[in-house]
Amino acid sequence: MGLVQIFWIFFAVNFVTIGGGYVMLPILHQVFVEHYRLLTDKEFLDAIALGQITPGPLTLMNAFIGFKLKGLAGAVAATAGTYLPSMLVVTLATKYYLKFKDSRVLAAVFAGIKPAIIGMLAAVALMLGKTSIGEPVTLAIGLAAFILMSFTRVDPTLVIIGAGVAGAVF
Amino acid sequence: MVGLRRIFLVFLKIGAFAFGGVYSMLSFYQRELVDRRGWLTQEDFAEGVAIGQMTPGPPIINTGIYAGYRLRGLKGAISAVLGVTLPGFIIVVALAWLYMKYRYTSIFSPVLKGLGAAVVGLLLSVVLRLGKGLIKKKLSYVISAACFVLFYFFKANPVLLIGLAGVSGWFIYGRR
Repeated sequence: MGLVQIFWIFFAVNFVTIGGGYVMLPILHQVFVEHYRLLTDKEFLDAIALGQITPGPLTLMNAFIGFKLKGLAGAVAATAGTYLPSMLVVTLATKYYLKFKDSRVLAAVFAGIKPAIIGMLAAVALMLGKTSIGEPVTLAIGLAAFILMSFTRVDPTLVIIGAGVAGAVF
Repeated sequence: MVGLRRIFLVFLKIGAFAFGGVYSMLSFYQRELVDRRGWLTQEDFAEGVAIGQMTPGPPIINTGIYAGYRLRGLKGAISAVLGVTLPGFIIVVALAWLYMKYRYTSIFSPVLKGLGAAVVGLLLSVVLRLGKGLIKKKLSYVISAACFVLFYFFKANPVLLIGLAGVSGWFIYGRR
């Protein structure tokens, strides 16, 4: 598989999916594992794990897939393909949003959307909590992170590092 | 005006330390861009999260592009994306190289256990602070609660929910 094709596959997948990492996973699996047979299931799962342990977005796992296919140049092509659609669409969307945000219709639409997002984020927090909070230690870590972020101005970097250390020690 | 290098460096910091995935990054954005630097208000930030969810591609990157664009236009957006993805990119490539060479398997699981729990707390804090800033109108609570229930219990499609919420907003607030 050539660099241009790697770029295009990631560009196309990200251009047509809304929702990011987890929405994109089944499509990428179908393309690279089932169709082209360039990755095994195990490698695909390892790519996901790698995306999860590195800081930043899960979609950086695409750099791993690119690297596997074509070395460093492949990683760059995959990453560029992943983020370029966002760059094009979001800068335009933001430009026009800022231009029309004071119009009554757009303001009203966003007055509906913002609470919807908050409700969904709360649901995501609960779903994540069900898998990652189970014992007193993890409950304490989650609670401490919530309190520190809500009621103090502590740097989230410290919270994350503290949580990693606490998870490893206890 | 905020310098491009400053935008790049703040996003670089977020990209380097936001372990725990996108929801952890949301908390970093809020702390660094809203609380600490005042580059965005809570309201601006909520709009950025909404736009990020509604546009194609990874939502968290989209929210970063929105923030960068608001600060310094296209150049600001580019600085933000480069900053926030560079550290993770370097780490992924390094780990990918090790992976090809040694077929290493994860030694990180205990650390991940703590991170997973912390992310729940971080995300709840984002929800609390966004909710405090935004939900002034009573009907907003209804929309929030409805979306929570539909998303949590009925696994409704998020894009559909955002569309419906937008239409509701238009009906409730847009016509007087």
